[in-house]
Amino acid sequence: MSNFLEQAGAVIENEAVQSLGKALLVVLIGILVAKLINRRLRRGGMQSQSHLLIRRFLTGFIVVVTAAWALSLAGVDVSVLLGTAGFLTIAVGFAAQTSVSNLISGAFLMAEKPFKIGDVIEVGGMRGEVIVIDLMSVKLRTFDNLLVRIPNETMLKANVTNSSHFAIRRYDLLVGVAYKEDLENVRAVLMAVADSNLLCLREPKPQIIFMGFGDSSVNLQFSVWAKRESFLDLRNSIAEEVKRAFDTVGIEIPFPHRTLYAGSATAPLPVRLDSSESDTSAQA
Amino acid sequence: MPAPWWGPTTVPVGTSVYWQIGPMSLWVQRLPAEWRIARETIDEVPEPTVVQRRSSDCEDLLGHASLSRFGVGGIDEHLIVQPALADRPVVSTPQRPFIIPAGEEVTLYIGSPLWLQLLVGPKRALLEDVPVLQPPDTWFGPNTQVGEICYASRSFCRLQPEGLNPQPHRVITSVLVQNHASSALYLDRIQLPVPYLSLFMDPATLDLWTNDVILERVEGEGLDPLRITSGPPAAVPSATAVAPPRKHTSGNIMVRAFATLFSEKQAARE
Repeated sequence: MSNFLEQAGAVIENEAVQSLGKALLVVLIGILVAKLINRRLRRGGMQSQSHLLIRRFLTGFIVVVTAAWALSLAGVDVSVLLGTAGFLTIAVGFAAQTSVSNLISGAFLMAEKPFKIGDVIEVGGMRGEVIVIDLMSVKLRTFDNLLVRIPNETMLKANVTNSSHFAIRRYDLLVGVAYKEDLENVRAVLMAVADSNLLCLREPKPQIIFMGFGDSSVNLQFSVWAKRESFLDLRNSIAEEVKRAFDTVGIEIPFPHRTLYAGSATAPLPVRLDSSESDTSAQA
Repeated sequence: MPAPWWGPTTVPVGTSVYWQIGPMSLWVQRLPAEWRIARETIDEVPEPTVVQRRSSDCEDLLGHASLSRFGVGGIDEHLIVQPALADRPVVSTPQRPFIIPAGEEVTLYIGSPLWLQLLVGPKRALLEDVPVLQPPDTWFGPNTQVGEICYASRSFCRLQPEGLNPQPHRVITSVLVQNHASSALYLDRIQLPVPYLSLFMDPATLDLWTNDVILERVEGEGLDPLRITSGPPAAVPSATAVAPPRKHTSGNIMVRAFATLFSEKQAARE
């Protein structure tokens, strides 16, 4: 027994073992500090993307410092490692150019906050709900339930449209009416449709904007506002109601008309009338 | 003295109650382990404006698009029909522009929509909290970026309580506007913070009222915060409380959040 204790004492007194023990202690303290900071940040009411960025940065910093300290205590010459790390950094830097670019773009995005988790955005033709804002990329869930990963560098360069930023949205319905229609009557009918639709906001007031004389119709833009949450419902209901109201009062929504004209220098186009069966029977 | 159409009532299992409140038809059925509620809105308010009918059986409500079923334990038959004010501010637009000249003060009587809450059981579990007539939404703010979603309402801006012709689905608020400035006050929209107002009843007519609201405009300082008076409306001193406010103000009766009671568009006109 005493022999075992002597051997154990000798091991503990061994300098290398002591250094390893200290290094282990430093690693344990590092892990503890990282966990404490993570827990504190989780409790704070920070926005999720800032929270994520700070958490990851602090955790990385603690890992690097703890590792360097622990290695130093274990007798490893850190300066040699740092020198090697310098060369490695240059090599990795070239290799990880895109990643670093994404990382920096991510930091800019998080600072600028053009959108947040849960917002509906459109980037480069992709439209969906933001589900993750990461250091390297933004992940969207499209409305047909696909996951789209967009690198932060692309996000920073592209035009991003955020549909969820403001509480109200405008819907522009393009309406064409026949040239014979009284535009004042058309205006009154459209305003009555907006007035009867409960999803259509009373303020800002609905607007009817003249868009031009089209090939077959007088083109108007009927602009109505809705709560962001009711936008889709309004978009569907208002079109149906306009069609119904036009049908009720007899306002024509014309389809494209084509007039064939051969010009004055040529003879008129020959037209042959074929009598149908009904005509023949009527004559008989 | 007429009996109010609201308040606690009992609906034994296997029976139903029907209400016609202004433009709203409401069916409440008590079935074993469930309550069924259906409602409909009609375009024109019939006469009489309030009808209550009890039935010893339960007609089939499954055809109603608005039918809601609430599963409950036990056979408690207590139901409370509770009138309430809207859950968001109401923006009232006068039919014609209303101007208050410099140094004048005027009391306006403005209507807002009534909500109905249905509560059941000893814990007063809320089953429904719905408007008697769904008002349209509107936006109240200086621009499309800053502001809040409110309910929209048309107002005749009546100046005498006698000509109000109150409906059972409308609540009257008296707004005293004092224009102490040297320029006229153009009034085109009024935002009533109804979630902060209490509901009162005129015991003689059963008309519903809120607390009085006072707005003061001082020279060079714009509009003061809105003040809500405590107690029954001055026009009906005998009014009794029906429902407390949905929200409570932190600073007694001052509602600091409603300094822009009048639209800023009008301020720009002056």
